[in-house]
Parts: sequence; structure tokens; C-alpha cells
Amino acid sequence: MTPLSEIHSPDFHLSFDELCLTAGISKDYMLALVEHEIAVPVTGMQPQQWQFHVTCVMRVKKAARLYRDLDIDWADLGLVLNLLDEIEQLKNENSQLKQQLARFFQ
Amino acid sequence: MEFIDYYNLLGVDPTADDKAIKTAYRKLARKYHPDVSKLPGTEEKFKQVAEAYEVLHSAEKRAEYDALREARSRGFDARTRQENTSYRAEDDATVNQDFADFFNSIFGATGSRNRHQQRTQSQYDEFNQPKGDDVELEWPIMLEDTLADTAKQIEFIIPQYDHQGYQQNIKKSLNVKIPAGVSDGERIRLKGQGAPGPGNAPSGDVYLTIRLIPHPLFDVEANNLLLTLPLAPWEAALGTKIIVPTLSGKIQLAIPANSQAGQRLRVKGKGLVGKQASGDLIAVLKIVMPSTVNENSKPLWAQLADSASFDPRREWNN
Repeated sequence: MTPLSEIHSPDFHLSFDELCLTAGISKDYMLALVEHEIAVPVTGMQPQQWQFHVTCVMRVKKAARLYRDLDIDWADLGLVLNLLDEIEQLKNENSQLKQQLARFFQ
Repeated sequence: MEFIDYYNLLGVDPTADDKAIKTAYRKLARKYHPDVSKLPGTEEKFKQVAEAYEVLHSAEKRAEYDALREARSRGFDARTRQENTSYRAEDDATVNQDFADFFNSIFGATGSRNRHQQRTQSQYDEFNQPKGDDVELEWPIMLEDTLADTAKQIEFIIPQYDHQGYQQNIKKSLNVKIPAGVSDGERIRLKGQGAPGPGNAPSGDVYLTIRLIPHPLFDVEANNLLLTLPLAPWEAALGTKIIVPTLSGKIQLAIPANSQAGQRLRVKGKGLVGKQASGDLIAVLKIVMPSTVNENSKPLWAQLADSASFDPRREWNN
């Protein structure tokens, strides 16, 4: 078993270059993702100053997969990702409420 | 080896043109894409659909596949065809992906490797800094494990490809710290713990998505804990003191007189640990009737009915 791994919690930030490298996405694609607000920097006005939440990595990778596999335009990807997030959130909320209701009527 | 009818899989006629094949693929890919559907088995289905599309939208591969399909319809099986022509006849046992077996038998395992590399490599072309594949996992965590920093072991499989393109899974075990106060859906990145990169390239990362395991007693609402608290009707009417469980031991909770079903009683700071402050324990009152009314208590309920002058359906009369 290896020792405790290097953990990056959600508070960890990445620069623009680090995000491109970590997500395996080219700078041009990443600029398109930022332009369409799929990747939103938490700080910085210029690409050199941008800082992203580490959780952004998963979102941009998902965007890249959908772009590649489903042929979705960058412009539509933001909407698709937001709707997918909303569906997941509603499903979680629904299952929590069902569980609470079941406890109440048991 | 079972012959796989790619046309049937995409739901198109063997004479379908490229446009019809692309349309059928898009329709199925949107239905089964693992980022879109979380239903069990959809990822496998998507891989099959993607495999079928990869063959049928390439004129060269489609012609090769059609020839094999045609030969099969004349009585040859896939194996015979391979051995009688220049098709690669791989040892099936060395290929550990069931569906990919069929693809590999026609186009060779190196085709499989190339597909994998193409997908990975194309994303890095402009960077020219390839790295190993990332691994994404859901990590089930007990509510109790979120109260303080806890180290826990996690085991997972890393898919790797040898130089011939065959997938060889490697089992990896890590001791990972669960930061106090993690919440459901939160992601943790373990840098460099994914698949090794090609050559001297860096390894990929592991991304863990925290999934809180449902607790037999508590529900989670933000960083509050909800406890459904059953009360006898007389406990709700008269009030009482009850010993209730929390995640960190038992506490005494005062139930006020005239409590109602659904009423919430809040105990500050007895919920989950939060990033800023701890959440609360919220007891949701549930009034439970005895399953049977015995002979001794029957007159008492009748006496209560006569003296209470209570109509729970008063609103219906308005």
C-alpha cells in the first residue's frame, strides 16, 4: 500500500496552463470553453492570471468527451452540461426526499 | 466467437448511406453516452455503438466488414474467414474485452490500441505533452467518516495497454485521507495516481467523487442531519425527554408539550462537520399510534374523544 497520496481538495486552484495540461485539452479548446462559460476562472482577468477550481477539470473533460462523442457545438455544450447537472441534482434531491418520506410513513 | 451485426446494432439497413449511419449513431450515442445516462449497462452499450460506428463510417473498414458478413451468410464463420485470408487470427484468450474480441479479430488488436491512443493523443497534440489516463471513481463514505480527517484504503483497477494494444488491468491500492467535512458529490484529486504515461510522460490522476452511504437513521440536508423521531400520541401531547442518537453519541432531547407531527426540533452543532461551521441535528417528529388498542386503554381513548372537542377535519367545513 502506498503512503498517503497528494490530495487536491476542491479549494485547490489551477492556472490556465495547469488546467489545460491536467485535463489534456489544448489551449485553443480551453479558450473556447472559457469563452462559452463552461470553464469559469475564479480569479484573474487575463489567461496568464486565471485561476480555476480543481473541480473544473472534471467539467472540462466531460465537455471534451461530449464534444468528441456526440458532436455537440461548443455553444450548445454549456446548456447541455447545465441541464445534465440540474438533472443529477434533481435526481439526488428526489431520492433524498423519497427516503425521508419512507421513514415518515413506515 | 459470436458474429456481431453492426448494422443491426445501429438499427440501420446494410445498404444505409453514411448520413443514415451517422444519424443512427448520434441518436444512440446521445441515449447511451455514460456522461448522459447513468443507467446500468449504458457505458457498455455506448462502447458497442461507438465500435459499430467506427467500422461503418470508414469506407475501408466497412468494406472489410461487409466482405466478412457476406462470407458468413454463405456459410463461413468468422474464424474460418480469418484463417483463410490475411485477417489476423489472434488467440482469443489474450484479449480480455468480450466485445472488442470481435473487432480485434477483424482489424487486429493493434487497431484497438491505435483507437485508444488516437483518443488520448489527439487531445495533447497541440501540447505535445502526453500523460497517462485519468481514472474517475465514486467513493462510498460513511457519514461517521466525515466528522474528522480519516485515512481509508481504496482499491481500484487501472486499464493499461501493452505495446500490442491489449488491455491489461492493474489493481492499485491507496491509502487516502478523507478530509473532515467532505460532502456528497465533492471531488478529490489524487495527483499522479492514474495510469502511467507513455515513455517518460507523467501519470494520469485519480478523481474520487464522494458518495455518502445512506445511513439507517439519519438523512443529510446540506450539513444538517435529519432524524425522524417517532413519538407516542401522549408524548406529543404532554411533552417528554428522550434519549436520541447523534453521530457522536447520545444526547437528551426535550420534547415540548403540544408537539405536532412534522415539527422540527433543532439541536445546534450536532450535525455534520462543515467547512465553516458544524451543521445541526434536526429531529422531525412523527406521531405513531399503537398498532392495537387494548381493552384497558379503549375507555381512556373514548374519554379523550368526549372531552377533547377536537375536529382534525375542521378545514373541510369551510
